[in-house]
Amino acid sequence: MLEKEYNYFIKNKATLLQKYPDQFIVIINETVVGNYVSQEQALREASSKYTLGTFLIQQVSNNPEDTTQRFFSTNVCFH
Amino acid sequence: MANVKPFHHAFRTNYSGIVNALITECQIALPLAIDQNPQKQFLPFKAIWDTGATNSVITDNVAKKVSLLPTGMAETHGVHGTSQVHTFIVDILLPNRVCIPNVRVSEGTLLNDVDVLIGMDIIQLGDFAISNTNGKTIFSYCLPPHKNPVDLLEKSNCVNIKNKSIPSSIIT
Repeated sequence: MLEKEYNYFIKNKATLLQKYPDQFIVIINETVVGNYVSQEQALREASSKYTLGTFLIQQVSNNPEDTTQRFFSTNVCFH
Repeated sequence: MANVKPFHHAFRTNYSGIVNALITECQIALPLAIDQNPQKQFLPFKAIWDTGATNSVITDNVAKKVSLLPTGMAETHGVHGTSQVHTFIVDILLPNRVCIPNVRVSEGTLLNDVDVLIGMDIIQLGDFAISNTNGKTIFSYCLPPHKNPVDLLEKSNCVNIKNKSIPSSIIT
């Protein structure tokens, strides 16, 4: 679920950064269907138009800290 | 216009001994951006507070029980390697009855019967203190942070001067 949308984002990140810097975009399949100034606004608008689980909300940021999460303990593992 | 001072919501957990993990209750619900109902149901889960995590995490058990569907993906870097995981947006109710709305959390596996990891994205919103006096851990947290922060250096300096203590390399 959402892998296709995320791969599209990763593949086109440079272009999306130019077009939507520091915005939150909504992607369905391989299309950007909305761009917003906040995550809350993106979720509110997208969930009123589309079914949850079919769209990906992604922050378009050049700062890796905004898109990468770091875990320095063994409390959690990801598969 | 009156200068309204903020109300500090706080909680304290007194453990029966020294603990190596800070575990509290917390509650999770659908995010405010989707469900604005003030009476919406928050479900209780056990949470671990982890200053070594940049972000908060929930298990698939939370996602199923709260009926969450993923709204994003994130790249995680941990001691077990790098992964791409689903993310959800949730409201988190802390023990001090403060609701943190629209928090982006990742899906991961947590140890024991803990279902939520509270990371620095939430911890950094308030003041966070641990003490281990008399063989018992006390964990307290408040939000928003106080203007006069907890300063153990200042406190130690004052006590040392008062007690006329001298530095020692021996810890007793």
